[in-house]
Amino acid sequence: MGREKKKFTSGTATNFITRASAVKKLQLSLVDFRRLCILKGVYPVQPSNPAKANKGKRAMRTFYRSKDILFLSHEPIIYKFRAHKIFARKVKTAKKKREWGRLDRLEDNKPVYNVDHIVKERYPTFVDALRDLDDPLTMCATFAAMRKNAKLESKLIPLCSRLMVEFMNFVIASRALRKVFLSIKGIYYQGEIQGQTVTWIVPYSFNYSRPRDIDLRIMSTFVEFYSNLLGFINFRLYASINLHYPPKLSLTEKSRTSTQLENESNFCMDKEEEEERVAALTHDLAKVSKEPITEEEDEEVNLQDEELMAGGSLDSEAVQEARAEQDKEAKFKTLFEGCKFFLSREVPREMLTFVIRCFGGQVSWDKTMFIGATYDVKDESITHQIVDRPQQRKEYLSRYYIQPQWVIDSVNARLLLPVEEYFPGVVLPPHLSPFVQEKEGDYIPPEKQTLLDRQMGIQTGKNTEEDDDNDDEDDDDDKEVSEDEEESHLAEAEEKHLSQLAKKQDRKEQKHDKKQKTAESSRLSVEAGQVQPVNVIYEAEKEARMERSLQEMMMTKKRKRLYQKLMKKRKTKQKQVRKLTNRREQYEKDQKMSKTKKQKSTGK
Amino acid sequence: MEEQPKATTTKRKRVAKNRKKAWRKHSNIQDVEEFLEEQRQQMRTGGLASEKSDQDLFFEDKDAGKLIRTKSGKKRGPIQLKVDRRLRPDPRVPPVPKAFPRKNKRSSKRILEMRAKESQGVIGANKQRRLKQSEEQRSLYQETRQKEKKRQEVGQATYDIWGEDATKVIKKGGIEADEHFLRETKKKPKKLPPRYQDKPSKLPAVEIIAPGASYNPSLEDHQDLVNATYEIELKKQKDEERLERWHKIPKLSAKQVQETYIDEMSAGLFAEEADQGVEPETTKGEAEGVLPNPPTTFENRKTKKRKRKEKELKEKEKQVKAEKLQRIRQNEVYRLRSIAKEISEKDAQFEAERMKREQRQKEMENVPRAVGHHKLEEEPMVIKLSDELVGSLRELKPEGHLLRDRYKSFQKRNIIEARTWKRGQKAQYKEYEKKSHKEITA
Repeated sequence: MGREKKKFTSGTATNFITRASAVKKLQLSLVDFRRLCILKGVYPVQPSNPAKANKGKRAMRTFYRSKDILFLSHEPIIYKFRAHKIFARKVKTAKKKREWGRLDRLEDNKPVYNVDHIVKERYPTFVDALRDLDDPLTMCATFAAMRKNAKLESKLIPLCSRLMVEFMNFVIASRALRKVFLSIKGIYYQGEIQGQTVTWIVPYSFNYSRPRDIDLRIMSTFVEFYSNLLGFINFRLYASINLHYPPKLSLTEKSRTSTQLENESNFCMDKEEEEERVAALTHDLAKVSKEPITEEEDEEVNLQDEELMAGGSLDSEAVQEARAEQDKEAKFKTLFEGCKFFLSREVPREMLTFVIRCFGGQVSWDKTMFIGATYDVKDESITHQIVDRPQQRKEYLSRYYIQPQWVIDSVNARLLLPVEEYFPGVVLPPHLSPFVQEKEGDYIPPEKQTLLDRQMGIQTGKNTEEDDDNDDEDDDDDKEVSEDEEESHLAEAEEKHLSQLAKKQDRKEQKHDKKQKTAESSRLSVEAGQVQPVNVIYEAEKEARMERSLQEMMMTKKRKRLYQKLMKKRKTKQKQVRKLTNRREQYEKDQKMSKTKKQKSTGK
Repeated sequence: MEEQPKATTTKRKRVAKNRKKAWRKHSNIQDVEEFLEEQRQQMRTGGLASEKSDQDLFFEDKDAGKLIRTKSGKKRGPIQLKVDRRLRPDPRVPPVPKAFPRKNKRSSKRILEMRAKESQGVIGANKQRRLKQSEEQRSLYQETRQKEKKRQEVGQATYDIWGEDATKVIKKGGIEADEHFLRETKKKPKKLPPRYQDKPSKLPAVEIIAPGASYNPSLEDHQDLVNATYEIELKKQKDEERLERWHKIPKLSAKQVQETYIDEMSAGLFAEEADQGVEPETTKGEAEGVLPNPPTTFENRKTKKRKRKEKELKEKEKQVKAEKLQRIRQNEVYRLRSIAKEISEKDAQFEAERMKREQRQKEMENVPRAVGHHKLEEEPMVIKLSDELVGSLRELKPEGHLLRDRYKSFQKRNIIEARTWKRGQKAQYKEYEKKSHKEITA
């Protein structure tokens, strides 16, 4: 018999290491250890058997994997941490002895560490970094909105805001934004960058106080790493669409005149002004090479790709569907093309500029509000002025005065919504989350339903203006509405809107048109009343039901049970939906009643 | 006897000073002596102060204003510590001569010639080359350092880290380094530990907020959110109540419980005995009464023969058992089928357990791990009640802080451990009312 094996000398007991012993092993202070762990991406773990890992003791402790700590011990920046400790001591001595010359010399040779190699280590490929972009963006956005603080390095906040501006400029240039949601916590953005979905939150730009119970040292270490990462990502992204990095403005003639417009009142130094102008997000960025990549070639390549994907047959449904989808996307990206916006002082400038520019719109504001205004209020070609005050003098008839929610809702709906519901002083329709996807059979609130109808190209309610297709209403019931048709509806809706804009100036004519149109529509409604197709559907449904019941009878016991379970689930869901719709109807009725009562009382 | 010392202390010493000798001996002239000594001191150090003029005694302090200014000024000269001062060479002590005075190396004729040429501005090719090389190196070093410094300050990426030539840049400060160099200088990157690239949690970095948290939500969404928050709050309250109730129950050990149980159960049964005072006696007897082993009798003793018999019996039993086992083993050939069934049953059981375990692991994926001393306190849901909703972006007052949201998210995703940070929690300022400015209350 061999020697008795001692307890806790292998297995779980040695695979994990407590934080205290890790700190001791690395000969660092706890603060430095924390920083190192955050930079290197080494996280605490929960051992499968904490009692074993803790060598029989029962106290709760933080554990790390021993191999991780061994890996940390080879990290070269540990030496920099130690050097920094000595440096801090020397600085302290020099200050106390009042040796200013020595202090200057020390500051000049301050040990600095570089985390480039860690970035590469943690994100070996660019796609890895893109997948993890949510955290860096949100953290940088949070810090960019923070106030100066003694506990933060002074350059961290401006660095974060600059990186965010660079990123936003990229999103604008590549038209990568997909969804925006104004929550009470902050603004949620979702974009698609090189096939990766990226979601990030940006706080509202109020200078509200920071929470005291959050350790800023930890958070700033995260930001330190993420700012490095975001810098490299921005570099690569800018290179991918052939832009200068750091961003440069391409001053076309148009924008140059606008800059001249402002140059009369010099705000700041030239370099700062350039930076501010980039931060204004209103100007296009300069390309590296002057020759633009011809889009036709791109399209050809895309077509070829599709062919390959579909196995060579061009006519197959998959290809057509993909193409329709692509067209839809392309149209969505140019949602605000041709629209000229003017922002009033009270609306959040940065957010709106970012969103509008992401979809090809032009933005400007009062030149005394912020640098980078491109045109004046008096510009007659402005189509929309965004205001957020109930009492507003409407000086120009050639433009719509609307509330900021119109912009966000239009983006989420992927079409230009009718502006009437968003006029100043009007009670706005609810701002729905674009991240919610209703499943089949779920309750859809009426607001969402109207939105969905609009997306399908179906006009309901009071806003009917034109109805060119007679079949529209009949198609309504048909489930098989091809994507292509949908597309055409979308296009029509947009065209309608644009044409409407053009018509605005000539009011009388429009009125005349409207009268005609209403007459037309009344005629159409008479024609549309056909009962036959409804009956057919009913019959079909009945038949289907019969068939289903027959199938049910043929099922095995096991399958039947499962089936019944599913059906029960569906039924309860339907019940719930019915309940909710009824409640909503009741609520609306009550609202109406109370309104009329109020009116009566005021009338008396 | 006792009063005598008192008398001596209080009583003045009376001495007759009528004689010259006694007078000299006993009169006190200390003040006169001091005065004279002082005068003598003054005479030795430049004359009597009383005879000097005012100008000699006093001087006008011209640096008075300056002194005050230097005191208030922040940047003063360096402070010399006493320890440093002591280590400085003493000017009065001559330097120690060298034990072996070194002779100057006599330069060779060639070197002398070269120096003479150099002084005239002619530099040899060899030296020129070296100078040029060092100059290049210096400029390269300065350039890279300047670049690095600027990058550190500005935080701008100057190269593509995922590009092909990036690896070389990382390796050795802008200069390409080969494999051998890296290995020898121990700069070769280490192999990553297993599971290093794994995410510590399956939770997304940015969790999408509920649609009811929109700044202008629809009725249904808002109601849903309010209900969800209410349920969470209710659960929290219930838990608290349960804890409170638990705290109210007196905590007894098992022994105490047993005692009270017996007391309760036997209440009223032995009332008479307790009155007579019999009980204490019995308890006393029990405590003492540990029964000893019964004494061995002649019949009971274990003889050698008996021991042997017992042993034999035991061995026989063992043998019978072994034989039985053998028989069973041999017969197992005939129940191969049932064995196979048993095995498959066991396998199925293991499989079921494994599935269950996996299922649990999957469920636990989104639950934050216990990676520290403290339990994670979840951030309460952000919510605006219906009367707080403004319906306009201009009047919106945001809820919560993104910094806290991020912090909690890191904790939820097991990136940092949950902890209570005492330093941040304490109030920054202490509030008090000044006595002189008390608030007037009518």
